[in-house]
Amino acid sequence: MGQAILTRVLLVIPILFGMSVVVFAIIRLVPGDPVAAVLGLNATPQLIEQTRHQLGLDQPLWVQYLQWLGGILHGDFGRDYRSGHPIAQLLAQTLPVTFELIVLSMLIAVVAGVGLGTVGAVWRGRVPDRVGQVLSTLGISVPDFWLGMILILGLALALGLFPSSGFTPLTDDPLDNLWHLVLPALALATGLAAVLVRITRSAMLEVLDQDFLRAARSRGLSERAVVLGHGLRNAAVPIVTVIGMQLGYLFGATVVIENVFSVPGLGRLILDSTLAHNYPVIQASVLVLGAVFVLTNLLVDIAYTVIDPRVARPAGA
Amino acid sequence: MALDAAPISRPAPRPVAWLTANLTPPLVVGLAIIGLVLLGAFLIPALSPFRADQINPKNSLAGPSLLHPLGSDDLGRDVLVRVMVGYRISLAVAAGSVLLALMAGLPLGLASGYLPGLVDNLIMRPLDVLMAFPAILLAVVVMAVLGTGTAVVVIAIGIVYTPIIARVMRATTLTARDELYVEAARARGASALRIITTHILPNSLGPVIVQASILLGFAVLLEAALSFIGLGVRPPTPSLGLMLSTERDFMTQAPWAVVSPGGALMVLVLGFNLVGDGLRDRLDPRGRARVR
Repeated sequence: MGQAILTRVLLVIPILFGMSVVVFAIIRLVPGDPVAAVLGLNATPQLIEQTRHQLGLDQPLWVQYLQWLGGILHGDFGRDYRSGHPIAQLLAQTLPVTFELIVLSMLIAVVAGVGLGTVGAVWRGRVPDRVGQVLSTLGISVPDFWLGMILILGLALALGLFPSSGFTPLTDDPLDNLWHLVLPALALATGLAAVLVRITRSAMLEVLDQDFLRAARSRGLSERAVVLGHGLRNAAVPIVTVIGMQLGYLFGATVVIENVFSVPGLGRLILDSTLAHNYPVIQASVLVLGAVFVLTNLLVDIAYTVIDPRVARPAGA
Repeated sequence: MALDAAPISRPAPRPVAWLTANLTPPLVVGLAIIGLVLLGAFLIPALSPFRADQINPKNSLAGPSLLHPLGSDDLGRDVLVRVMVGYRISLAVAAGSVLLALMAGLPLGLASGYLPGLVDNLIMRPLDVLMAFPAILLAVVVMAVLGTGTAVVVIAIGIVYTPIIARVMRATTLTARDELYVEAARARGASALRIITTHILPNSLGPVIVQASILLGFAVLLEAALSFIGLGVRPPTPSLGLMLSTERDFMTQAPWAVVSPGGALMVLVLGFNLVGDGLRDRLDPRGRARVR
């Protein structure tokens, strides 16, 4: 198992390297002069030249890349030359917010999705199963940002149950922080929950008929212990796989959802910097969100190996 | 080559005959939804007395009525007509981007599946990197470089989906490569290009078709999301995402202007998803197509 995990870890390195090349290329591929685009119409030729020098754009490409990557590896993402703040500081402020949002959405999606899927499998063909299937079909099709707006309209503005936007840092007031994140997390979680209902239901249906469950029942275990202890545990591999596959969606969707709810996270930073053609910030924030996604996926893969040691076999076997 | 004139391969099914023989409930409902959307998108704007860009300040944010069944927006424009014209944009962008992904992804997947080793690595490793980016993030990267606008959205979503199509095509090619009918063609001296185009491609399209139908739905969502955040279709083009973005400021006074475009999006995506489900049951029972 150790070797399988090590192989998986090593495979991440070329992916991260490739990602850094793609992100590095952004500023170089912009048609025209990116520096002029960043500084706007009022930039003087001297300022453009100075900024170009600051960004290292007057150096050979490979030198630029190595300097940029070297800086990043030392935690130096450069400066946002509009606000003058170090980009690392912007990332340090926004990344935890996005991470919190993703963790909360994941929790909601797993509890709701796995719960409804299990209920559907146990009561196959009956009302709870049908309700779960309809909700899952709708949940996969609903645009999450629109669902966010509907949640704001219904639960925040009409009923006043939750705040409609904004954010309170976790360290200031944990309860208020959670209160602000419930609606964005719900909007973000719906798609994943809907997929999990389907996959849990089909994985559980496959497991529930198997001999070892019948054996567990014949040993006098309660149905709850049989379903949760034996059934769900054996259905966990496809569920975890799908969570891994859907993580990318969750990470990407923060760019839109954080905009709907004015959550000051990394997704919002990516969008704001893209709209403002603020390339150094786009590069840093896209790279960080992409890398966090790749590393989270790695953790899911490792979890997968731990849950089902049969997976831990050499690649290609 | 004369011997190659009669290729030994499973006959590729005729699409219409195949479809009628394999109509499952999800497929029927999905196709009906897409058919109705298409019909509405072309008939309603043609029959309505209003144009999608017809501003009427006196009628600003008016509720649903016989004249405006879905109400009007902040500029007094008819929401129903705008939603229907928005459908055209959604469908055009989705079809264009998935077509682009197919045009790029199919040859890449075929080549990497048929030629393992160097060619496979040269093609798939860069695509793996693109796939490592969350879809919206990659689209944002493309738009950060190319700017915004309908054509750029098509290119961006096409680039995002190319690796997905290539990966599915590669997987099916890898299996087909070792099939008896391919070996027979190889034994008859058929060239690699001929084997790929006349034997492997027609027999491995099932999972790709399923994947493409699923991607159509997600392309609709992705276009709407990009337009919603200001990186997609530019105003005054009535994209559904863009409508949601502009009417968001008025959603307490005129919820219909927000509910309608979003509900319309959901219905279209539901149609594509149901078609995808129906096709998957028949064409890709091993589930090689990704969920999203």
